[in-house]
Formats: sequence, structure tokens, C-alpha cells
Amino acid sequence: MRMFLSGSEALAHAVRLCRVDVMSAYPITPNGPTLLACYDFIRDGEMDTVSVNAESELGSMLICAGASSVGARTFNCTAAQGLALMREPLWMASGMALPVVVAVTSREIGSPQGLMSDFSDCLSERDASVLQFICEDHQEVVDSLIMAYRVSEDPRVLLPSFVVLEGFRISHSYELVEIPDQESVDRFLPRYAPKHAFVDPDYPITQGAGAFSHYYGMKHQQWRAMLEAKEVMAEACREFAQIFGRAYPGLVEAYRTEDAELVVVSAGTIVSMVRELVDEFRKKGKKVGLLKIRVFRPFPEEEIYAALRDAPHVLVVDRAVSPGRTGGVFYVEVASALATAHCGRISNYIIGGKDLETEDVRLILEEALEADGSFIKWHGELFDERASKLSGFLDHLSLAQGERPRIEPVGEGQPLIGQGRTTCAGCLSIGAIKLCMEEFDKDTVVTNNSGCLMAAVAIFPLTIFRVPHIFFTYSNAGAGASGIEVALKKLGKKMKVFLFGGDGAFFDIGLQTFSAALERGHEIVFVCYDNEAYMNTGVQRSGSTPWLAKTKTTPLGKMERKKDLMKIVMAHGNVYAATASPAYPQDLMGKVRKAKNAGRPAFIHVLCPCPSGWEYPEEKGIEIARLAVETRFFPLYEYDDGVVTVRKGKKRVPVEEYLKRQGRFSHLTASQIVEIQRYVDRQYEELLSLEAMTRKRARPRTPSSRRTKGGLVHKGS
Amino acid sequence: MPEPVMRYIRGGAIHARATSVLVKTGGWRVFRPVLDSAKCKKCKLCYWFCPDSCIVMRDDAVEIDYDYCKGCGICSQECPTGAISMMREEDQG
Repeated sequence: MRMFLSGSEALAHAVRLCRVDVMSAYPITPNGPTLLACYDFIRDGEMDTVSVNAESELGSMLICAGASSVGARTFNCTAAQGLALMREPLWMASGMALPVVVAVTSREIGSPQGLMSDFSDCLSERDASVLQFICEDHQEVVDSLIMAYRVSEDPRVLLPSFVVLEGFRISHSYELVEIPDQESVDRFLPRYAPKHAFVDPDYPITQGAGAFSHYYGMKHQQWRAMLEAKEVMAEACREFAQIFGRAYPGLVEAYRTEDAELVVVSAGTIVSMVRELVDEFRKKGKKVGLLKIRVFRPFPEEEIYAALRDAPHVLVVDRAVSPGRTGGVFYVEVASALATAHCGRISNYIIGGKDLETEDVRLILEEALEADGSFIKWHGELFDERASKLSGFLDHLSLAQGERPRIEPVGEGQPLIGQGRTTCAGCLSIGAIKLCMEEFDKDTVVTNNSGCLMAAVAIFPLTIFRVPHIFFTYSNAGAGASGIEVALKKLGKKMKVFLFGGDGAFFDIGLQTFSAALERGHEIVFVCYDNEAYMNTGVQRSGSTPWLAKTKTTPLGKMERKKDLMKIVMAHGNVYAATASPAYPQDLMGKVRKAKNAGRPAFIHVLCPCPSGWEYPEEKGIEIARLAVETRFFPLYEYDDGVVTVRKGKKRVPVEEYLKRQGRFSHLTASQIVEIQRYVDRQYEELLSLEAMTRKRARPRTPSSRRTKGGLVHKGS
Repeated sequence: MPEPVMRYIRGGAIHARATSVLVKTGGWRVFRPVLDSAKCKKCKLCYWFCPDSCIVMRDDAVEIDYDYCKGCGICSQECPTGAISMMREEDQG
């Protein structure tokens, strides 16, 4: 059936048709729409797939590997930093011959965190023994995914695959796509029935064993499987054409290369533009040809050699570079494939993640036609003048001369963060952070995690900060800040460290480094702006999403309870911890003041309503935050010196008042509301008894630690 | 002369503070908060609640910073004396 679909939706259709047993993904821009489309199919009963909402990409890849080791067909979808984080289990999956298929909605890999698609994420997994299909358009995404399972699961191959679609350029754009019928796909792609990796109590096998002297031989197996994949792909392409009527010529596609003076080699969406330009140039009598590389691994060495050995001039248009090599990644590969050929010139244009228009590509081709020798070039301007000036802002001229520009320190009474914050209107996450910043002064280092606010606080050359600010990654909740804290002490800088992150950062992906920082006792003020889902990527469920709340990945309401992060934090013992709300600014700021002066790790959990994710009118945010406290859905309490103190309100409002104001709870039945009320009451009673218990046994701080120059030493050790 | 500047900046560091002030988010506004000073008791609630720090407290008056106010309406909703009303931008002239 012909349908008008985004690349993400087309991809989801292919996942549905491939009868995937288990999928797992972690939200990262730009994979959100793919997850949404898959969950819609699952909700509507059109797709019989179990989807596991992972806590990180590391987790999602392991979930896929785990499911694949049992014998299930699996699907994952990620990009950029996400792919980098799943590197360890990715290598493990290929080593264990687990044919997991990963759709890479390609995006520039950080730092700096970019959004454009330049293949730097997938191509840097060059040596992971993963097949890589690089798609030119939406149709190819569908077809490649179906082919990827077929090739990956072939007993001669048994390796994972990437199906690479350019983030935004394909994932978020719309095209007409032919969606095949289920019967044809079933004919092309039989059910996965592995003979090498499965679980059977009557035939127990051990998978993933270590190997010392045998590593070498097993690497050879991967190497051979990758080479054999070429023939398997050729077979698959032939059968694909018979069943679906769409012919893919194999690993490369040569277009009018025979007598060409100049052959352009490239991959991805840019190929469409070049193909049109080839016709245009030919009409003008200029002999230009195109060689599209459809598969990066296994690399089509022979095909490239055959197609290009007589070409007088080859121009490789590259998006990704391999710093340390002058040319781009494809350039290096193509040049080595042609090493023994009598090839004329090989030139290279590096275009990064840029969105080029036909006119840009025309100029590139004309330049190559006119060039005498070969060249390697980066396309266009590297920085625009405005950005360049802004990064040095008022005094960019001294910066240009290699001097430190004048940056006035923050003045007395001046807010530590400036305006022009590109958060949504009515965003209480930034509202809460604004209140926190009131309690700090110029001697503060601010650091944070990926999330909604990261996209709004510092995108080069704009920053909201008037104090030092350092950003690392998503999973760094504690580790980056720990490094900052110890180095400040070592270098004799008396500064406070303030870290803020969302619920994804604290509850899920960053919990490990956060917990470790608490345990090590670093003096850091951690603030979690908890909006109870992955809002920045389009509202996906997190470990913090409350029971029965609707998100894009829990369309019928989340079936699990919210993780009680405060209890986890309190379990670390020697910490200051508190819950707070932007509806109670004085209370929140008081807690930040305590946290700042606690002399040990401090954590403040702030519930921050989100108008777009919770579905309420922007102006109601504070009201909803207040109701969360008044209904005891989110009670305010502190944990200090081992004692819990609950802030008890005068009135107790029924939890329905809180729920009914939010679209994410609009599907609840009366009995579900009663159940939530019961749950909230029980939790509150438990909290009160915890308060009573800790007060009764109140005693001096549990084994505290002191610091020496060399680090942490326990008292008495 | 852009390139010489960028030669001295590595790792995307921004050698400046609060460059974001150049982004006038007031342009996003559909509804504009309008303050009736006569009703204002200067309780500062709007000052604490405004997520975008657009309430400016002067010694004798409260002002709204329309350069950055996105018109979320929290101030109007939370004002205990009803001193702030929301008006459609185009009705304001």
C-alpha cells in the first residue's frame, strides 16, 4: 500500500512487518517519533511486540541482546551519544552472533551536542562487526530493515545490523512510501529460528563465555561472516526484487559511471540530489557519474574497484571525518579500495551534517570538474561571524588576539542566570532552577545533565549563565560533578558545585554515577527537576512517571509505580535530602540554603509540572504543583542527620483535585482514582511512621567521613 | 573577522556571560499580562513564581519585562488580588 509517511513512521511499519518479538529503546532525539509510531501499533494490536522502556542505551542494547540470546527477534533505535553509550553491549552482541537490528537515526556525536546528521555515530562503529545499511530515502528505510533481518539472521552471517536513516532529513520528513503486505514480507523473511543462540532446558548451552587463546579464532569467524554477508546480501536483493518488485543492485549503485570524467561517490540523502545533477550535467555535455554506497559494512571493495578503476577523477562527498586522516571516512575507504587500480585523481569534499541544497551540490560538482589536481576540502564557512563574535561577546577582539576578554563577574544582587531562556512558556523546571540559583553566588560552578533544560541553557554561542557552567553528558549526574568538586579543592578554589538534571538523569540513566557520588561523599548540591517523563524527546515514560499516568510509551497509563528516589538517596546515609516544590518558593530556597551549607552531598527533589507533558494550560502550573503537595501526592519533607521531618499542611485535599486538572490522567476511571487515593494515603502514612521512627532513635550522624588532602579517609581508619 | 576569534576558542567554550539575553522570548507571546498597579499589594508572589524572571521589583512599583515574558499567565493566575489580567497581544496595540 502506498502511504504518505515520515521516515520514522515508515520505519515503524517495517518493524511491524518484520514481526519483531522484543524491542527496547531509550529516548534520544531524533528517535522519538519512531518510538511513538511503534507504541501506537502495539496499542492498536497491530504489532505483537513486547517493548521494554530501557533506563539507558546501555540497558536497551543489553535488553535486546538478552532477548536475542533466548532466540527472539529484536529491534533497537538510537542515535549519536546513545549509540556511543551502547558500544560495549554492541560489540558483545556481534561477538555472541546475536542478530540484533538497530535503526540509527543518525545524529552528530557530542561534544558539542549537535542535532544534524553526519553519520559520525554509526561510522565510528566501523570495527564492531555490525552490518551497516545507509538509506537514501524513506522507501529504502523500509526495504533495508526487512533486508537487514534477513541478512543478519542468515546462518552464514549472524551479526547485528544498523539501518541508518538521517535524523530529521529522513526521520522527520514525509514522502510517499510503498508499504508491503504482511504475506510478502513473511515469504521473504521467515520466522527467526536460531540454531546457535537460544535457551532450551533440554539442550542447555553456555553463551558469552570468555576466551583467551580462542579470541583470535572467533574474531576470524566474525571477519569471515562479514565477508560472506556480501553474497547473502546479493541473494537477498535478487529475491527481494522478485517478491516486492523493487530492485536493489547490491552494495553499491552505479549511475552513468561508464564513460564519466568525474564520478561522485557518496551515501545517504545527498545521493538523490547528485543523481538529478548527473542528468543535468550530462545534458550540458559534461560526463558526470554517481556511485552510491548503500552498504558501509561489509564494505563493497570489489564493486568500487570495478566501477571506479578507470575513472579519471573520483570525488568522494563525505559527512563524517576520522580526525588524524586528512580525508573523510568514505574517502579513506574508497581510496584504499582503489589502491591497486590505475586511478586518476581522488578528491574529497567534507560536508559534515550540513543541509545542502541542489545549488550547493551543483557548485561542488562544477568545482571538481574544473579542478586540475585532486583536493580535500571542507565545505563552506566554518563559523558564521555572529556566532564567532558572540562567543567572545562584548570583547571578542581581545579574544581574537589571544588574550582573555573582559568578562565582568556577576554583580551584587544580579541573578546568576540571564533571560532569553528558550524553555516552553510556563516551564516550571526552569522556574525551580531559577529559585535555586537565588541561593548561590558567584563562587559557584553549575553543571547539568542532558534534558529539557540543557537544550535551553547553553547552545553555542548562547548561554544563560553568569557563573562558570560545565556540561558533559546525560549519564554523568554524579561523576562529572565529582571530578569538578575534587579538582576545585585540589586547586584551592573555594567554590560550590551545583548540579541540576531531570528525572531521566537521576532516576534512570544517571542513577549509577549519582549514587556513587553520594556514597563517596562529594560536596555537591544535586537538584532534580522531576517532570515525570522524558519531555525533551516527546514525553516517553521514565522511572519517575507515576502509576497510571499516560505518556507516549504508556498510551494506556503506566502500569508500574514511580521509583522512590528519596528512599534510595536516604539509604546512602550521610546526605542531606529534601523534596520541594516551585509552588513553595521560600521552602525550596530554604532547603537549597541548607543543602549548600550541608558540608556533605545534598539532594533536592523538586516536582516540576510540565504543561506539554502533563497536558494542562500553562497558567495552571503553580496551582498543580501546590495541589501535588496539598493532596499528599508529593509531600514535602526533609532528611537531615538521619531524621525525617514532614511538612504537614493544614488541609488534606482529595487526590482527584490534582489528577483531574491534567490530561495525562484524563483516562482514569472512578475506581482507579480511589486506588490512587488509597496508595497516596498509604505512602503518606508510611512517611509519617518513618518520621516518628527516625525521631525516636535520633542520634548523631551516622559514620561520617572527613576529608584530607589525599581524598576521603574514614574516621578511625 | 570571524576566524581569528574562533582560533582561540576550543571545545565550544563561550567566553562571555548570559549571551542568551539577545534572544527576546517576548516575541512568543500570545497573551500579555497587564498589571493594575492600584490593585497590586507588592507581595512578590509573581516575582517568585515567574519562571522567566520577568517581574521586576522596583522600590515603589512592580514592572513586567515584556522583552522576555512568554505570556504563560502564571502571574495572573496566582495573583491574590487579581491585579494582573491577560490580554490578547493584538488588542493591546
